[in-house]
Amino acid sequence: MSAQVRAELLKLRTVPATALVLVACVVLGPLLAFLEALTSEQTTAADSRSVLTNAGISGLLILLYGVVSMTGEERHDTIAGTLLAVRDRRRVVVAKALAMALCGLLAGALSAVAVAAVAVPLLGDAPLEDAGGLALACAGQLAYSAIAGVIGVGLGAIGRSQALTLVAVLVWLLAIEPTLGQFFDVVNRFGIEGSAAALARAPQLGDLPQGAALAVYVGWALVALAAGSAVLRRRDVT
Amino acid sequence: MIVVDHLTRHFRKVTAVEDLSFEAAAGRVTALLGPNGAGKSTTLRCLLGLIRPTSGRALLDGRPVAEHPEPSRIVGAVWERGGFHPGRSGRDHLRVLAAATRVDEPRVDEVLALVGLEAAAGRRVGGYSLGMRQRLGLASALLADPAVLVLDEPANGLDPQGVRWLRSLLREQAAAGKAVLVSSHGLAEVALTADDVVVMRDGRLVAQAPVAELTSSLAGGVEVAGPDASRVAAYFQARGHHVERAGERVTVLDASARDIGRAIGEEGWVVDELRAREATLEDAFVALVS
Repeated sequence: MSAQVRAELLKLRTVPATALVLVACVVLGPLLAFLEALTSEQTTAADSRSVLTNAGISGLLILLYGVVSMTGEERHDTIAGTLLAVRDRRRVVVAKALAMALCGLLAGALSAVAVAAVAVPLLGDAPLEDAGGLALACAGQLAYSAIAGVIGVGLGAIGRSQALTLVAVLVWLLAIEPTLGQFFDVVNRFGIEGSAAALARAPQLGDLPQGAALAVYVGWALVALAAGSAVLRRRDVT
Repeated sequence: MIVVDHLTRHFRKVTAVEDLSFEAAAGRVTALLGPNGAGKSTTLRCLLGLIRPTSGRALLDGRPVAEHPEPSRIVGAVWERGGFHPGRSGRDHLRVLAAATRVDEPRVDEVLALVGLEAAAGRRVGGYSLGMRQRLGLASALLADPAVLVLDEPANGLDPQGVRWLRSLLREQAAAGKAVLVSSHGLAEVALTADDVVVMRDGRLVAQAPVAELTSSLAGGVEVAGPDASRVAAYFQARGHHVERAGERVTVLDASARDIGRAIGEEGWVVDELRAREATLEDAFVALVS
């Protein structure tokens, strides 16, 4: 397995898209934090935390990059060479998910540092959580980014078409799940986006305790991974 | 050794391969031939474990590819569509494969040198010509020094020099004891490279034989050239023989040189040339699949 993970990490390091995604994490997080800090008042610690949790954009980007990375194997027909290197196709999905989780961890860390560098001076005298609260929010964001990569790879293994899979994932995350959340509170709490928000301690969505949100989000990752592995295992590579 | 044993694959209502059996021996180059849609690519992908057979087996060294602990150490493959990420350099593509198959990195430079891609190794594959991609595909196939090579149209995009190089490379690999299975449309090239041919049509086996045996089993006809060649053609056509014409040169496909010579003598025709033509692999292929 370690050989497969090394190979998958090398794949990520040797394509320009990875650097672009990391740059996007470093740029978009601070930009969103800057805009929120300018357009809203930070009168409570939760308001300030809301500005800082814009670093969580890295989670969405890494989830989408996970989809792109996995479906890219089909798109460029590199899947044939990838599968020929291993006896069990499930190892490919797991190795790719682990590599993407590490990439997500890096993206989350870069985004958190960049957001802090921009937001802390902007927040000035606004109330902030204590160090423990901030550390938990930061850890939650890192976990969110890492696990989002696993979910992206799992979903990418289910779909064959890169464009269709990306559109389906975006529509689910940005339209269907929020719409369902309007009617069913359970979706806000236990949905992919809801649990991710609670994990990253973003105040807009989800009110699960952070530990429970971690468990739910890991559950989503395991479901995506299991479904992706099962589909890839049975798929003909034509 | 490659063994395809009663292999069948249906795609919904389409039968891509039906009850196909053949062998490709170690130390020999075997060409898999057939018109478009004959089922060659499906057969190769079944061999590589990428497509599951509906029934039957495709074995490499006695086992399906998925049952080998490290499949890429048993079989190397060139894919028709390449199989490269356009944003990755040729060297990095091979480094990724080397990492996945636990091949030492110095081997990457060895195979790059073997296929003549050292100078372009640092460039992104998206900028490669078709011929360079084929060379990179061959480098990928050879990376883990497998016992079996499965190559789908490896000569596509190669210039004449490259085709000659590929021929000697495949002969060297076979001489080293590897089983080499090549799918190709280039019949003239196959005739020069392959020891054996397997011919498919509509998913079924039509023939399997050494190249020499296949061509010798088919009469190539008798070529006649000269001022009265067209009269010879008309004479034999009138008697139900098949004739091909090319200017002052005609080929009577199903009459002996003796019969034609006798007719020329009796009629007093003038010809410059009369010779029995050996059948080519192309002749044999056309006869088998048409």
